[in-house]
Amino acid sequence: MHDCRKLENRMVDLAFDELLVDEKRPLLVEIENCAHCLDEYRSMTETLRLFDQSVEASMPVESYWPQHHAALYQRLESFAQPVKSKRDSFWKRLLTAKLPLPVPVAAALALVLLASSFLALRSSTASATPIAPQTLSVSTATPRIVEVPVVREKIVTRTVYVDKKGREINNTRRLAPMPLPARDESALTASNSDRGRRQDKLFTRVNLTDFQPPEELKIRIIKRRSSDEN
Amino acid sequence: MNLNEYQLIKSAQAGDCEAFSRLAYGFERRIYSLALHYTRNPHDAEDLSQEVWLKAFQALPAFRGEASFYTWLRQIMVNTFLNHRRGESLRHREASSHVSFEDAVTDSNDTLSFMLGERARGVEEDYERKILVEGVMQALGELTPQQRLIFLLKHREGMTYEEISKAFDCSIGTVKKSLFRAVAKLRQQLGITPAPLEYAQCVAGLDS
Repeated sequence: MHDCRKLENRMVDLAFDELLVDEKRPLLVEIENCAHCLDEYRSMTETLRLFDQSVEASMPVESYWPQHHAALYQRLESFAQPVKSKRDSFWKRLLTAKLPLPVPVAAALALVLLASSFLALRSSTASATPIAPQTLSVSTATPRIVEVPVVREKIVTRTVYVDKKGREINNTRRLAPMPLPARDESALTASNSDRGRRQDKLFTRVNLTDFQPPEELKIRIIKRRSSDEN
Repeated sequence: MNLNEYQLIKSAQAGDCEAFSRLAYGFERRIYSLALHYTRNPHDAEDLSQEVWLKAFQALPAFRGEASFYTWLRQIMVNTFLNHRRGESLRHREASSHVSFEDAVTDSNDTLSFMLGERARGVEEDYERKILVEGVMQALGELTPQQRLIFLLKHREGMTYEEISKAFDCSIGTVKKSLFRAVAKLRQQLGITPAPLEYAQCVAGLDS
């Protein structure tokens, strides 16, 4: 059953070449059999034909195209220039780069940046001592002699060995005095001279004739045994 | 894509204006013609077609050759045309970037006469052409920008319903309706009388 309304839609497909060859022929036959549809289809195709004629007629003359092409080339060059300069300047691109960052991250970064710059500024101001402007002047005054006391210091090192055993015996004697056997004076002096000789063996005599004692005396006591020397 | 076109694309992707200009040379008439019938004004067509090329140049590094260069370019053109209508931003013209139509036009107020002037052989023919072009341009003005572009893409570019529906992000039914309305409006505006049957058969591809 022929339906003009339904056929209208298919007429568009036919006019715009959206149908297969097998589909075209029966449709065209159907259109030819209906005067209204045939008129519709003819006017549709005539519209397209006139439009094509108009397109052809409206195209500019040949002398227009070199100008059009030159203008396009000029615009392209002026457009490409800033693109190239943008590519060259790394810092500019870096500074103007858009990074999609979450707000908390961006805020944290800004805070870190502020804090570090503040600290850097602070440390630089603390370390920087004001340098007085140096003025070149020639002093004509005579040099003044100032006497500065020089501390003379001489460290004397003496090794003193104390017979610990004997001292311990002495200590025990002191704590528990034993009745001493009677000794005569000669024996006592002999024993003293004997002790002096023994001490001479231990200590060496140092000549301190030109030694001026300092105001400060440093004494270092090292506790050692005589056997340590060996 | 032939070797020459491939090499030109590669050079243009590296920022070579000359290579891109040569690449554009092959398609600039098609783009201009579409822009002219879309805007119905030679100055706007000049601006719009150049904007298409600039956008293409800008986007060219992203072109991977999955589709043909012209298919890729056409999508840029569709988007640029639609944005042009939405924004109307290209109304103001940059004097430096324009081709001087006025230099070549005998009557500066009528650019169509310039376009037709050299081609017409006689005064009568010239007049007929002028009437035709002005009539079609006026009829195109009765269409919505979307109808106009769909009609141009289908009739002049030979895009399929599917390709147009993808480009416009709409259904095939919408494309068909837009086409039907566009043709109906044009026919009405142009006062078309039915075409000879032979031509109708020829359009349908059944001329044999």
